[in-house]
Amino acid sequence: MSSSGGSSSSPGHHAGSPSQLAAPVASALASASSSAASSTFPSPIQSATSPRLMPSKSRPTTALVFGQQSQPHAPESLPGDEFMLPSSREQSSKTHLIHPVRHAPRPRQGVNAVGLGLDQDTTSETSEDVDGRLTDTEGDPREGTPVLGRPTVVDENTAHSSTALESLKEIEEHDHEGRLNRGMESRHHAGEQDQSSEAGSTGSLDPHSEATLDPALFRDKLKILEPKAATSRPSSRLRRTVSNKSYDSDDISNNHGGYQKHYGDEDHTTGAWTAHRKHFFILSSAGKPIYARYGDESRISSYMGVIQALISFFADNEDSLRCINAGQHKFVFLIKSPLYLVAVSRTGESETQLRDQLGYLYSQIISVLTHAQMTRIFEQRNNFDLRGLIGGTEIFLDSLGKLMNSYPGFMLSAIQCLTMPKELRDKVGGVLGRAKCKSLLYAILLTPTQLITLLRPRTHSLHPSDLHLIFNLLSGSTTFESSESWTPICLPKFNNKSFLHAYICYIAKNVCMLLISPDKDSFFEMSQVKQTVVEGLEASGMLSSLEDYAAAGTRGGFNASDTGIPGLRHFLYKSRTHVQFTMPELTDPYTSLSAKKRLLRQYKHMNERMHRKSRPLKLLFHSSEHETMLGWVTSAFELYVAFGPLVSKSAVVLMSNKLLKWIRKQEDSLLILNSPSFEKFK
Amino acid sequence: MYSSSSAASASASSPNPANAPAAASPSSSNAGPAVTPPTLGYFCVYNPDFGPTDETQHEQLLYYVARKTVSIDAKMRNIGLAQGLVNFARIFSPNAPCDNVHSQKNRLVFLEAEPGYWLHMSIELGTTKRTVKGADGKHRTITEYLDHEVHDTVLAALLKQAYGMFRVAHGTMDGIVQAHEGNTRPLQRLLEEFFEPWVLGWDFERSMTLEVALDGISYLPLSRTGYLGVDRLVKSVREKFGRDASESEDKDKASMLTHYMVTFEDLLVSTDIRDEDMKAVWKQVVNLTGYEGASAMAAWERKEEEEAKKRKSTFKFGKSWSNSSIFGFYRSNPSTTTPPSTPPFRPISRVSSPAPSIRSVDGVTTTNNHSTNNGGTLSTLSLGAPASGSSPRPSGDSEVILTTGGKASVNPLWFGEFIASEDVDEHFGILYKHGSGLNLSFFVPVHSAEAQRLLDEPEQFSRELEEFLSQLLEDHLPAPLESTGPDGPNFVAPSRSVLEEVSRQVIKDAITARTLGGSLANDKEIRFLYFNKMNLAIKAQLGSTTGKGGINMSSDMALSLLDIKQDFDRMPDANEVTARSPSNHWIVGKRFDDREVYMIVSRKDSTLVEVEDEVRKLTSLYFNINNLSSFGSHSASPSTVAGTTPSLP
Repeated sequence: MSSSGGSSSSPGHHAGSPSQLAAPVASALASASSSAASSTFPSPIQSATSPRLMPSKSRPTTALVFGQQSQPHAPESLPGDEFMLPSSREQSSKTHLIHPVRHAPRPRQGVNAVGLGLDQDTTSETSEDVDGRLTDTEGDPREGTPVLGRPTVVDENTAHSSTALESLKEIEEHDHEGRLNRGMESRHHAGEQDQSSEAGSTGSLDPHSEATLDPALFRDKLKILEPKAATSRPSSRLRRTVSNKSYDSDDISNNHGGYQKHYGDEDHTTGAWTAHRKHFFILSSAGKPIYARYGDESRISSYMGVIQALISFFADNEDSLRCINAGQHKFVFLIKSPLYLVAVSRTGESETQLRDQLGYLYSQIISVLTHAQMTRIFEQRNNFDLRGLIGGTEIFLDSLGKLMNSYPGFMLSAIQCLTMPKELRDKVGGVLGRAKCKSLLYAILLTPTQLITLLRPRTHSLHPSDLHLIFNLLSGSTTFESSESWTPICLPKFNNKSFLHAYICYIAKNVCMLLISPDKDSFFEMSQVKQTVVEGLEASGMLSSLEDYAAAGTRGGFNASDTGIPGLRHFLYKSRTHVQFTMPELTDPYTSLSAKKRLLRQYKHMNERMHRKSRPLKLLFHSSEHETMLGWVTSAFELYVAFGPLVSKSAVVLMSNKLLKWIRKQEDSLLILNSPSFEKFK
Repeated sequence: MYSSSSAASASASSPNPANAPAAASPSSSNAGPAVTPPTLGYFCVYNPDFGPTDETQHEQLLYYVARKTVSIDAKMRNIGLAQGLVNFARIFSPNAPCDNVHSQKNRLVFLEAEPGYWLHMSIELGTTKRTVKGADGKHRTITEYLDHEVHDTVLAALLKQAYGMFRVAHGTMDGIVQAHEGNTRPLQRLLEEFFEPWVLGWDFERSMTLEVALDGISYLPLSRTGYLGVDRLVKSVREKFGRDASESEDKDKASMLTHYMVTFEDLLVSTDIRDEDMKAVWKQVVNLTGYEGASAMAAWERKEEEEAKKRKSTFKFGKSWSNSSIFGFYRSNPSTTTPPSTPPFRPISRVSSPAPSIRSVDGVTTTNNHSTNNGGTLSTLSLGAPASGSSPRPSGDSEVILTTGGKASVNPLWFGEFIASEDVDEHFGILYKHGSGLNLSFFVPVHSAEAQRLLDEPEQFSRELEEFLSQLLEDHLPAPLESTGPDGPNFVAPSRSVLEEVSRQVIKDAITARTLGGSLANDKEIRFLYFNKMNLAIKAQLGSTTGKGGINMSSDMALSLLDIKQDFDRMPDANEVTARSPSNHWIVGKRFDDREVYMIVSRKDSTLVEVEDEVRKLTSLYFNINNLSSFGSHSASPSTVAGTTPSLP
């Protein structure tokens, strides 16, 4: 996959070691040049030809940028919005490219608009997310430069990078340079941060706007702005955060702007912070904070230091720290050098489950960076601050944390399918299959949590954990709903060394089409596929029925009472052969949040007990004041059933067998029993 | 289980840990796995409050023992790490300190026994070495660390027990330091004396059992007659000596014998010591009377045989899943084992104590069973040494043997007076050991005036006690209450002393209790354990009946029971857990308020519903039977006696 993009003539290697460079300058330059490049980007196709287009972090942000649909409610006074809006409005409203810079969907207008926007931004106080967007779009000077023919900027850039980091260049591959640049740049911010986001934002904004106008001038200005630019740690965080509507409004009211992390402001010295039920921390093996689920990770670096020290103490003795138990709390460590991941939880989840969750967080980071790139970065500098590179994707780590609490798919490592008649699914699959084009690897139709159908090459199935990342991508950001998006994504189980590219577009309410291609230039091809599919579905009226099923599916698809089994409250059924699961809607008594949580925790407990590594179980009957539960694991399936608390064992057994029969009967609409491959349609 | 590979490239081929127990792992060669058991890495006691400066830091360390001798620096590093871990955990869990830490190769366990005083140990996990064929066809040795074979519940219980035993023998650590005006040397010496011979013998493989984790008290369930007899006996002694003391010395009306405890061999019969200390005092008494391990020893020996068997046919959990209906297994293949011809009595005592073991009711003779002198001459002998060297046996300050049927000794014991108080006071325990196995223990607070007299003339006191007991004849008792009991006639036989009579009754009760247990365990496919949280009563029929068929308690089963206990601990609202292992054993845990019943049903073809029936049978038998209604009777808590009688759903 990675080789597909190798053709680039990358002129600038900007990723320099900050110590060698005048850091702020370098970073500012990088951003400036890239923004210049992006703003002047002539056409998506051209951009597409350059391989190192999309810095991963720009993915979500860019979606934002052009996802204008989501912004009508955003204050018009936002300069950023204003400048964005025209372009999107002029165009057919539904099509927004996610990477404006490279794929600048409406090339000319877009460029102009950006330029304008920038100008306004420089004078604007409420510029946080504009800033974010811009900086996000920057970062790939290389693509921009050749196309743009903006020699000054390019030269600047190359000069810096070549002097700065010869060695880095060598190992650098096209795919990563953009990211590296970004990373370096943001590291500067982080390194010399000061918490004043205002200063930071203006600082980082100005250069951009200048750059679009006149690079030379901009360079002068830069010197003046230098300190400020360097101080923009908060803004840099903002900048790469995905902001959707609600967050936009936060931006204005709040210095932090961008995506407002829940409890982001919480003081780590307070009891409220430590009392959260589940913390996640990610740090580098050098002890640099990368991510904290609650609070500002940069402020808890002392804790990170302790974690790092503890881990290395064990490592020094050729041992590895795995878990600390203290009362209700579990501290679980996952060591994935160069990253350390730590969960601090009092949710009652087991060590294994927490470690699996850390594994998912790790995969999420890999999906943004690729394993290859991350390893390379830390080989270069082991105290690298990764926040710069994953910046903007924290929202997906956050949403993953939430999703793992509420969605049983993670614990089951299985995918939930939308309940719908097999015939319809097959027909939809047929439409999808016939629309295949050469560079299409996977075609997926899905709701934000459930799979409708998936087409794949016969030889490449898609790992559930990769699919979970995709689901998380959709549920993590609402901006996809309003635009066509094109984003690089690394699916770690598929290949953790390189990126694939995902085309994301909602074709109906709650129905999302996701096309994955190894070819970064295939946006328009993918868009065409989507068009064909939509037409095909509309022609046969399937789209509206899909929408209906999706609507039903978001509620749960079916009820426990649909099974006709008295006393059955809820169940989880996983087909081990298909790696899929199904469950009914959570109805009374599981409508309250606490009851839902309790049920899921109970499922998690059952699941953990039955899959304990050294002592697995075939059957587990568990009764408590709240419910009677049965867990049953065979080589073909796993079934977890919840009944009321006073149901007798014989009834539980009888009903469970009945339920199994019912599921068998309905299996083809509950699950996807044979996922079609593209070859079928040739 | 974590695997790490000895060859660098092996990690790629090591089994994929996630979600797929049946996943194809590298083909194991047939070479038998080399197994090492978990062993103690080090054990230490420290208090971070001592030695605040860098120079004096080593004073934090109060005791440290390890198999290998290590430098003080290494010791300090270990307790430094321990404190680091504890402090880190405290950030998030301020109220519940760090319990244990799992690493790939070790397990660290913590107990803050008293504020600031930490008992801490590190256990090197057991390993298996397997040769696997990697993807490239090369053979490699993979070492797996058996994390799951070491159960936290047991380790926590072990440390608690260790501390409890220390405290009952020496008082609180802080008390010792205070008594010496802050000098920690005496404490260090005591810790060393106490732990040195013991700690290194801890066996983390064999101790992974529910019995250890629950750490209950084995009660002797008494019949009503037996109960009243014991009660009468205790009262008479207390009246006699309590009155004597208060009249002669003081106006103090309180009996000088503030507490008592009656044991039979290693079973607790009755006591009025507060709950917190009851267990430790009981253990200490059993220990001092030489019955320690009377049943545990046997259990260990059974286990040993089991181990040998287990090694031959290793029973593997979880490698393959049977794809069959759980609700009707292997009906065509009933188990072919024959039932044992006799119920599995608790094996006779093998303790090298003078106590006779029970052979029959009628054969009991209680007089002069082992008298060395007839005339009441005193001789100081050490008490029968426990055969098992694995326990500390602090010796009493003075030991006196009285020879007409029993002997008494005086030992200091520490326990508290008030419920929920941290304070413990030193008491002198006067242990009267009767030849039948019955022991009467009375406790006198050290600081009372009477204690002084006791200290001054232990022999005289002991002789008085002995004489009193042996002369306490039948007519001291009120007329027999009821002669409804099967033993009515015996009870009124005039020729025997009360003591003898009570002993006889107690022995009878003991045999009844065992027979009952035996009749249950007669079904050799069922093993069970009963535990009452309220009075810590434990009754176990878990061991295998060696050589007589039935199931062997494999370590996996023992660990599965521990898993269920852990479930109960974690989920207070859970009342039943029934699990079926891949080898088709049913493992059941049921909880009724404070009472817990654990069962293993190894009838491979039984269904969940049938197992339910077995559980019901057992619980109704146990909880409805009058004989056992006084399960763990102790006079201080009559409510528990009542609490065990209602029938269960």
